[in-house]
Amino acid sequence: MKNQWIITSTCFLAFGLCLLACDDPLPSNTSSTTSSSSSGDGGAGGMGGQGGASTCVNNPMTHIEIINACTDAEKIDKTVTLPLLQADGTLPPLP
Amino acid sequence: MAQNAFAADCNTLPNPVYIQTGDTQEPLMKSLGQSLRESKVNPITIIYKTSGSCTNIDAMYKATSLTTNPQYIPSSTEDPTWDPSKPTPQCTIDPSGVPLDLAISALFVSSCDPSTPPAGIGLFQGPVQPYVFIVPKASSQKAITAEEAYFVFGFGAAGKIEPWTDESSYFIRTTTKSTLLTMAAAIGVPGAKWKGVMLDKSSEVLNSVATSPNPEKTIGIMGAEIYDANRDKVNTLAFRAFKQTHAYYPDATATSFDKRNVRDGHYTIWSPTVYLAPVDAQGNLKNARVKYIVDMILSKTVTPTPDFNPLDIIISKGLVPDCAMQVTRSFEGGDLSLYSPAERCGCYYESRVGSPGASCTVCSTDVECNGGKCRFGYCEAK
Repeated sequence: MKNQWIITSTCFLAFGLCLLACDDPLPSNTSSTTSSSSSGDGGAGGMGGQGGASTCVNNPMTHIEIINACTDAEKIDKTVTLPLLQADGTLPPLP
Repeated sequence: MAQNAFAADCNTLPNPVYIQTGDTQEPLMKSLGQSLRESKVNPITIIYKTSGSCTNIDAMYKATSLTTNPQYIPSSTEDPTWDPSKPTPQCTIDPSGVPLDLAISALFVSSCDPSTPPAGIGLFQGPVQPYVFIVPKASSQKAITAEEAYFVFGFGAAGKIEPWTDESSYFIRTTTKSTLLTMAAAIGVPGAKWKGVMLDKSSEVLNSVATSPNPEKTIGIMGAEIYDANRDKVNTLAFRAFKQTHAYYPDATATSFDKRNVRDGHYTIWSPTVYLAPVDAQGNLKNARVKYIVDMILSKTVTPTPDFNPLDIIISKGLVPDCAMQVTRSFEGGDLSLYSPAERCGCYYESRVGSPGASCTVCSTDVECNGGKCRFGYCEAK
């Protein structure tokens, strides 16, 4: 009985740690296929992720899937304020 | 003791190799150079000058001779107290100039010169060099997004990105430097359009950021290996690339040194180092000593077998050997794709920067690896 309690507790602990450390996995076939913004010659790059959905990709294949693949690495979430962002959400050309 | 106390004519140093390299690769030159200088099986003296990667490429392409006094790695006889943490002494160059044996770029050559390399010059892709944004220890900032960096460095104060609204507190590199150009590609701001105080040396950036009187408004850029050696002076920012949902450090955590996020693609600001040197018609390096150095940096088998471990030196300098990478790209800032090196060393790499992954198995022969290969004491898939 005591062993069963320990096993059950361990399972809950492991599940809890995973919730804290892991992203919600997203099947790779449901991930975005939009290409990333390029580093063109000062042109308005596509608007990047503004934080986006808190999902991650298992078995990544494309660039966007690779950079958003599931990982237990430390991640930092940041809400950004971009006053010069254009109305359509794209970056303005460089001055 | 003054570092020039042992100044010598460069042409009196034994088995010299003349190198022009970006300063991000100076730590590697010093440590590898010390082992080569002390080698009992194939002693070599590295004589080097630091300059911007684009300048180095240009020098090799145009066969520009070295005419200013370079640094060299002293032997333990010449200076028993020298170690790679100390400045290197200068030697006196032949006034008529000495041809370069090897140039090192810390970014894709095409970023500096998109033309086809001249006939007779070979390009060899080496370990990966990550770059980082840094802030003073007193800054509260933890991360920067590609969009923020676009406005900060592309617009300066006019970009209105708090707290980085003071261009005199942006400490960056000049436009021939790999650090600036790799960062430029990552945030979509061409090098020539960057706002900030352009400095020639990584050490100047480090000092300016570390001692800034306005820590919250201060930001700088540098190679990750310089940052790794100075984590007590500055902090790095996690970076969120375009289309990425979270920001990540080059390493799995802010305090580790494993470059895991560089290896698996979560941290995108990196370039391969590229080694440029004269080659014969078959593309083989002409200079045997250069070939020895380049091959060992590329983790190839060299003869004679060195009496030190080159891979350990590369890893200890914050570089990621190609054999440990899981992603690749084909141009500066280009999309990442999955990568499987021909001869993997991921488990060994992990063992040197932390602990090997759970799937890594210690081995002594291939037989123990279920069809895989035993490399550097660990089973690898190939």
